Amino acid sequence: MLSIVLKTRRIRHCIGLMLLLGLTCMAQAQNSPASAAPTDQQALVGKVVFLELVTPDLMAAQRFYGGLLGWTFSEMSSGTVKYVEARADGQPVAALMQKELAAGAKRQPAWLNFIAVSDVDAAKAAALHRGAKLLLDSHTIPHRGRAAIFADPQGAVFAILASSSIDPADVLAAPGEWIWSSLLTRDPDAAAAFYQDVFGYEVFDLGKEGDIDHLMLSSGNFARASVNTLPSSWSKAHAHWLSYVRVENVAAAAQRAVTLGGQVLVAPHMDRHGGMLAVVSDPQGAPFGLLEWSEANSKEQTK
Amino acid sequence: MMNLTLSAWRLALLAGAVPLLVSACVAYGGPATQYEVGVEAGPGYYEPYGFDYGGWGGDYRVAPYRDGMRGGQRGGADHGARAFRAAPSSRAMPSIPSGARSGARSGGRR
Repeated sequence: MLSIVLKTRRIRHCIGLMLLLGLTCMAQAQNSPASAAPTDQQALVGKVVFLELVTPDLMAAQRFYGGLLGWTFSEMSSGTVKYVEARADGQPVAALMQKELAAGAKRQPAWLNFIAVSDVDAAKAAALHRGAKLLLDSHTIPHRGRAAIFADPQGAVFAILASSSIDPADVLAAPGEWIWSSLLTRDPDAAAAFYQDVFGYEVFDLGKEGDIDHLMLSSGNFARASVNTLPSSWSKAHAHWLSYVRVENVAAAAQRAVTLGGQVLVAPHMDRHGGMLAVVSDPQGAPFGLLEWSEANSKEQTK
Repeated sequence: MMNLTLSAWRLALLAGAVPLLVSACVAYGGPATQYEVGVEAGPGYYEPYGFDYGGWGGDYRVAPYRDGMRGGQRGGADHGARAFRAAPSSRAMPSIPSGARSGARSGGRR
């Protein structure tokens, strides 16, 4: 009888230990950054929270961005897909993926902006209702969230993302991190109305300079992007988004970009609000901006 | 009694193994095809030619508003009706976030 009681206790202890082990493993898996589960935290709707580059030469792109911006890369390839995550001073800043670009194709690489939403399906419905074209339907990006890709009514390509974890905090971008985005388009008023309807932006008009409109999209009381007129002389250009990396010295960074095989598309110059700005492209032709910014520049204006 | 003991051991192994397998799948992202969804988006990623910035020059001024710069004066008064709903003129013009990141980020990505 004593033997039976002891065995029963041993069995109970064993079951308890195994259950505890299993539950502990589950808890650890859920706490892993690579498997962040959806949370009920509020998304920073309207903020550009992620950028991705598809490039025909991933190694060359890593050499360029690593050499120019100090990014480091973590291999995340899977199967035949070559994919890396880029980090600036340890902080994730982007993802780069290799994909063949057929010779003679009238296409070029471009950085894709992912704008935060809280509900991909609702944002998709709003975008389509207002004339956007769906390029890639709602899908899950592992460890990132749910996303969909569109062209806005004027053809600028953008993506929406409902993050599977919390959106990155609203802090000043460190050098090497994305700091700003602009939409260059034929009809800034119509574009601003579209993005306002989809993302709920406040729209500020900073006034014209010649024929160039300068509107600003804001959410959460932070400026998120500008909307600017494509120059009338630029007849072949199409509407597109362009994002900017914060650097400490735009002129030096632009020169470095050339040394690394890139091109200067807009030479370093003073922006209307002060500070240097330039547009460069990587060796495969993907354009992006360089922007200087000091902490004192970020205070808001009280009219 | 022997049957009872074996069943209990099987139950114990099952209770431990199932959560372990589940947690392993969650932690490592499941099968190795995890990025195929993104790859299939290919045609949308490569944009048509059209990034000739030659038309810009010094007119290319698109940066966010900076505190204290008079160039940031609000415009629009002479534009009449707009396609968008303009922020009320009483609204302060925001800039980009300020303040350095503290030790902990609010999220795992940028």
